[in-house]
Amino acid sequence: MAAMNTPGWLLDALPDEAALASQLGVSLTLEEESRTISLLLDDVDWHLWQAGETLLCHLPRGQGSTEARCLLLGSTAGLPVSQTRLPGPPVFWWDLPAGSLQLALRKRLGLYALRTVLQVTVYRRTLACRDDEGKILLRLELLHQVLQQPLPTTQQQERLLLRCRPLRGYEAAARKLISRLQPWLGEAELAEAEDEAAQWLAWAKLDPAAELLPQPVPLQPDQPTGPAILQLALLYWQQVGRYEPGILADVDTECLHQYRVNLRRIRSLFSLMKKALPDALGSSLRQQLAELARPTGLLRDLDVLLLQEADYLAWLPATYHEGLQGLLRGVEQRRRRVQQQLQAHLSSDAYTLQCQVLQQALETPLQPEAGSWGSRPLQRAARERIQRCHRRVLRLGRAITPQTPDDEVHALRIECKKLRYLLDFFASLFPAQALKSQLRALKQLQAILGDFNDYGVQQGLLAGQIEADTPAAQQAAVHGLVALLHRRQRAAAEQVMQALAAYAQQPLNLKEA
Amino acid sequence: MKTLAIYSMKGGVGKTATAVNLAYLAAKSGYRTLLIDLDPQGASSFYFRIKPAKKGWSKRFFEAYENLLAQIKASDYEGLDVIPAHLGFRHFDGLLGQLDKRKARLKKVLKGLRKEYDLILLDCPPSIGQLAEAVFGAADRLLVPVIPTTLSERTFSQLLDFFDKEALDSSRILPFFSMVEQRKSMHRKVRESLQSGAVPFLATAIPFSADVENMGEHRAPLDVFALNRPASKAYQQLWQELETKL
Repeated sequence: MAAMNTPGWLLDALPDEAALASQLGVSLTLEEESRTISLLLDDVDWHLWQAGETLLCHLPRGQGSTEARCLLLGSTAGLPVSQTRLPGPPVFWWDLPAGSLQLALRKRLGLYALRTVLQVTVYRRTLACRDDEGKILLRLELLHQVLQQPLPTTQQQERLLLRCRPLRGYEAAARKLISRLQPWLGEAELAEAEDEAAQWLAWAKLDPAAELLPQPVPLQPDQPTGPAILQLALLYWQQVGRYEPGILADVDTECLHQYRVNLRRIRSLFSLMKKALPDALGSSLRQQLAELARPTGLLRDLDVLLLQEADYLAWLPATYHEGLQGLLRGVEQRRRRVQQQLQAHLSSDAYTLQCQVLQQALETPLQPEAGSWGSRPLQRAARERIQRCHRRVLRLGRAITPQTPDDEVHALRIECKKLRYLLDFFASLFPAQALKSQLRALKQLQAILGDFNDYGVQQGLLAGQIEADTPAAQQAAVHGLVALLHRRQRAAAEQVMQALAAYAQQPLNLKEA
Repeated sequence: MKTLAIYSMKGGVGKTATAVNLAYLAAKSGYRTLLIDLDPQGASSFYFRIKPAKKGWSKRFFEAYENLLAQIKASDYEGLDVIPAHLGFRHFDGLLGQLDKRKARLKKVLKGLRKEYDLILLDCPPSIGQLAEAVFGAADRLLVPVIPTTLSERTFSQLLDFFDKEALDSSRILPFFSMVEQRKSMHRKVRESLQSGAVPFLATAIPFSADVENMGEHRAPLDVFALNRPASKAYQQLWQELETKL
């Protein structure tokens, strides 16, 4: 049902419709008049924008209509995916009824919450240009758009537009009519209506690319390692700050998770490249990062437990469900308290000061001493470090047998994680293709090791919920789950050797990019 | 994509009114709908105010779906496109007669439209010739309006005989009563007799209505100018019943 493009003009004032009709030389009738609030939705990490997709939620106003309509443009299917009759804008993918939109969003969002990136109120008058038989040849939309969010109410911005909506099979008639408008309005200056969200982002001065960490982070092979490490850490630190509002508002579990992941990345960067910074500076930075992460650990543990609820219920026989649910409701109450404590901590002056001190330390220019590790060219230092880590992964891997104690499997997991971080940090210094195959193999191994670890962690977390006065039904549910998780952990351990053999086949080639 | 033909050997039974109203209601329900007006009289096209192409193109109709794409016109209603009839379509029977694989021709050209449309409606002319056979080959469902009169009853049984003779699958035939006048005893009797026949009738019947006749004056589907009137409601009900059978 494709039609030609949709040219448009920005106007200084709404045109007189009678004058418009006489300019066009056709009868012009009012087809529809509406006021709609349009929201552009995405998560904190712009996953939809990154995939080239646009999610709009339209809330019609007037005529007693309160139902929302969501529209996903630019999806892989090519066609817009829509969902009508929603009670309001969705927050999570599971807020939508089962259907193609739910499926498309599930893939992109995972556990992330949607947020309103911007809000535009659109007043629309649709006029129809009709032929002698009354058939519509071309639709004209007179649009008055008011950009509200993310601007403060005092700084609302407005624009007026005239947009043509040609109909399939009437392209020639549309071109003729548009040519009659041109002496009056000039050449059409607006792009396709489908790109409207991109126009709105520019209008609201929002630039997702500038907010997100560049992938890969651009680094110079010859720059001295010490200052490069600080520069890299500063970029990750800027990411940490993006998740704070989401943690404070408790919108989803991902904000806290990503906040912690980014803190851990910086800390690992400093540990892995220890020699690049003066000892005192390195150890102070690592300590500061550990202190920032510490108050967030408990909340994350509780989130992990609650996120497993559906799985746990599916694993346990129905007779244990009540006990489990009782236990998890208790966890929920505890989570609320812990979340409030974290909220208070993140709003405190002490936290603000902690952040300022760290920021200052990261921003202070570093002059590495000549001949020190920190003065070496980055690419050489990174290559050596990655190769050393890779050798260690292989060595630890070779030592793994079905009888290996869990501690040694954990050590291998940690080493793999270090290698993964190093490959991520320094990706821009090495050939993308070589890294891609190494990363693919490493990710497969990490997935198995991750399962092994997660099942172990969950056993500990669950057991930690039991106290002397915990009701018997809840204790029984925990014991049941611990047994199930233990069995799953053993199954994952058995897969480790196979995964290691596959990984060892993949060479690491770090020629210069 | 599903193909629904609105077909009857007999003229004046409400085929076009059915095609126009169902196409409109399908599009309104979110189906990307294409109505192909195969009747050279072009009544469906007229109801949607769509003029036929100036140049004849009927000779190219069965060659390739691209020829059809070039003739598609958007109606004034969202999600509903139309291929208007052309006077040249009156030669379709002769044209198909000269082609090989003529019974499968229509199905083949329509297949090319499946990416763009969820539903194709064929408004067929009243005849039983090469075109009708091509329609029988192309349609997933054959919606047959039957006025409850002796003459219509006879035409309907001729259609069933034809399907029987040609070993076609008659379970695709979905008959329904059209232009029903409840006060006429003949209508009541014929309905009773047909309802107990081999092919089940749809539960919805369309009443005889001046509103349907007025579609020609308004040149719009009933929903647009007679929303809450009995005939309009009957077509809504017919669409709902049909949707479950597509």
